[in-house]
Amino acid sequence: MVRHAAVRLALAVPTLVGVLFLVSALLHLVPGDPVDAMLGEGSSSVDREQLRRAMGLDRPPWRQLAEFAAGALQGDLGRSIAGGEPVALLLAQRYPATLQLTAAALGIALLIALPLGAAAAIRSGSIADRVSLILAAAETALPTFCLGPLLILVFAVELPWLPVSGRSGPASVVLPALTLGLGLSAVLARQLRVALADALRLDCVRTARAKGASGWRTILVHALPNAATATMTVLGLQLGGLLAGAVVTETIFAWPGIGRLLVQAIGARDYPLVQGCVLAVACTYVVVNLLTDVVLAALDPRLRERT
Amino acid sequence: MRRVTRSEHIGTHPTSMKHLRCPSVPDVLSRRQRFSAGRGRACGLAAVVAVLLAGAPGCAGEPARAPGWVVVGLDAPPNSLDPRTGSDASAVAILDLVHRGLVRTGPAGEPVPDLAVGWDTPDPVTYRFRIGDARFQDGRPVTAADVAATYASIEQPAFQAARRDGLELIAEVVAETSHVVRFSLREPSATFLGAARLAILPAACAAEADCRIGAGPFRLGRVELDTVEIHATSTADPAPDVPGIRFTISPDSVARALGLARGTIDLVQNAVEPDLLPWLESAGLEVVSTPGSTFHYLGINVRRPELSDPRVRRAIAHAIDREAIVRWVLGGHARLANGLLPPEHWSHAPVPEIGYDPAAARRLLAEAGTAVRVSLKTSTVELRRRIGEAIGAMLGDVGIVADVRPLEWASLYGDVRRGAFDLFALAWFGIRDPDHYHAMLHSEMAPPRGSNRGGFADAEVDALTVAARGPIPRAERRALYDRVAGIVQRDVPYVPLWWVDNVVVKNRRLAGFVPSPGGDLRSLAHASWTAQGRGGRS
Repeated sequence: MVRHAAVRLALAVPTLVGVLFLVSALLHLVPGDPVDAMLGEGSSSVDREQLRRAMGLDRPPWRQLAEFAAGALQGDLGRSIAGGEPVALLLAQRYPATLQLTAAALGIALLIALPLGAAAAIRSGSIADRVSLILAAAETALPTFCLGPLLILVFAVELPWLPVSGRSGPASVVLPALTLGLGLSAVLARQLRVALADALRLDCVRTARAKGASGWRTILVHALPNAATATMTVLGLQLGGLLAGAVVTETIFAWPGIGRLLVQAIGARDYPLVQGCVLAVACTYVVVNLLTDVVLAALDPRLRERT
Repeated sequence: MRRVTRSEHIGTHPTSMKHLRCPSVPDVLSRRQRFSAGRGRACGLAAVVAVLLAGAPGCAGEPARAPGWVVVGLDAPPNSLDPRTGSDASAVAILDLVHRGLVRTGPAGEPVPDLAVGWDTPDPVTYRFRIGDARFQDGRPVTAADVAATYASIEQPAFQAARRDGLELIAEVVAETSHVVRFSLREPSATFLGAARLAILPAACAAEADCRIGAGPFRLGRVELDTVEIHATSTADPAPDVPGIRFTISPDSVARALGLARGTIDLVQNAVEPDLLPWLESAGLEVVSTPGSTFHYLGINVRRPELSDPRVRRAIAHAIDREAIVRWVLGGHARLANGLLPPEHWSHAPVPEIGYDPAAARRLLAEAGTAVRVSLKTSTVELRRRIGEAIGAMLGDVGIVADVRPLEWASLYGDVRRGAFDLFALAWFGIRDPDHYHAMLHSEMAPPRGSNRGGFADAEVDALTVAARGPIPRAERRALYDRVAGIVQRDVPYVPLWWVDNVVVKNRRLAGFVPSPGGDLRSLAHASWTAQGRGGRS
């Protein structure tokens, strides 16, 4: 297991380097200049060049990226071009909010998906199955930018139970987490339905039944662990989507997370901040995938044997 | 019922079951032990939920609001809270309430005294300001030494990104007495007073990179992610009625509107989509629309061969039904523009508008004899994108093939600055002096030096805009700018679209706030709460 995790961790390094390089290259390729954003028009060329030099923007993009990477290895992510604050500090301020939102969304998704997917699999073709299908279709069809305001309208304006936006207390995480989690729950529920229905047809499950195991015991102890492998894989992949979806959700709900910070940084062409945000998101994604692999390997020894 | 044990599984199906079992709770555990294990997991889940909720600060529900405070919704966080570096709309909205300059802008766009009670110009390169009795928020009086220190601070490297509008004209600032300060200019200029709007800081703090003490009616308080609070000061005369203002950042337009409807936001200015205004009125909020000075226009790249012909540019102007766009897309909250500055501005030129006339547009295109195919670059902001699509369709109706390309702000601005466009739709806000024509139209003012983005070149416009900068009476300046406006109307280097209104949505109980043409929030210093009416649903 340790070797398996070490191999996955080693493979994560080129992934991170690739992501960082690609994002930085694209950002330098598209039009826009941080000095333009700060000074606007009418500034003298002397001022512009002074500012460019002071911020290290006069150096070639590859050198800026190399210096950022060298600093990152030593724990220094540089300073924001726009505000001058250390990038690490900005990330430390925002990252917990995104983590909290993502974890809450994941919790909501699992709370909905597990019973819904299981009920649909056990009673295939039943009302529960059809309801889960309709719910899944509706949740997938409703984009975040539509679902979010709808939830605010119902649960914060018409029924003033929850805050409209901001990160002002425990209640404020509910609506953004629901917005993010509902979409994921639909995907997970359908995936679990298929996987659990397949698992229920396995020989081992039939044998367990033949030996007198109760219905619930057969499902929970024998079928569900077999279905978990496919569901965990999808969950790991979807978590990336959850982080990407957080950009829109954080904007709608004024959630002070890393997604909004990234959007602002891109708008200002704040290269160190964009690189820092991308690195944080990519690291999270890599860690989640690593954890998924480890859990999968624990669930299914065949995966360990292949590594 | 007999339990099926793990050993029995493996024993019965040595191959198929080997990798397929994963009973988390060992089957060998007793029922009591399994119950305990299940309870342990439930406790674990509860602990995770508790940790998740505990991660959020404060208590449940909306953030606590101190009695009498006003909550203002902004669409973006301020880029700085130092008046020398804070330059975006959010920063200006906040800092205008915290700081004061020697002069400010009057209703007709003219400079009027603020901290200064008056000024004289003993010679064309000298301005002498007399400072009135005013105090900073720390209680110290505002003196000429503070003014000199503030202007000196701009030269520090820390303020390379500072606003330098007109500051390059200043050669020296000297405190002659405690209440008289003298500005010596490098050359005579009619536009210098624009530079006298700079916020004055205490001399003791002006050298700091983040000086937050001003002479305005509010002082900066708590600053957090997405929240800035300012408190009323006793040093202001008269002191504000409201004890404080909380600026809350709500980047989504719909969420801002819903916050207004709920009553968690009391006031939003120019940051609610026109489509939502009727719904907000029906929700009990007050919508106030007053004439504004933000100028929207269509920029034209006259360097492109097909757009170098004034007839084609005029045809573009005739093709756009601006009245329909204002009525149906902007909800009527704009006035059709004939030039840079609106009718209430002292320099407004009474030139005729280029009206909607598709027949004239087709005739001009036929005379020009060229097939016109253009790209129109605009913002990805929903309202701007819709306006861009409407203009593209109208151009198509007269035979101009227009490819509408919405771009995020930095890309749009980057393309516009480097001349990578045929047409673009943008707006100028905060224009106070017609000297802006010099930056927009003088042939030597291409970016980055100026804002002549379309490459327009006309010797007469060059001469007129330079002459109007000299130390001449306002009436003479106005006559020169009238001639510039006439040339713009004839040659159409850009198409004036409209001046958008200042649209304020506010709690009905909040009285005394009057939107200013420039869109600042200074009037909040005179706002107060009334017992009558309702705002939102809270």
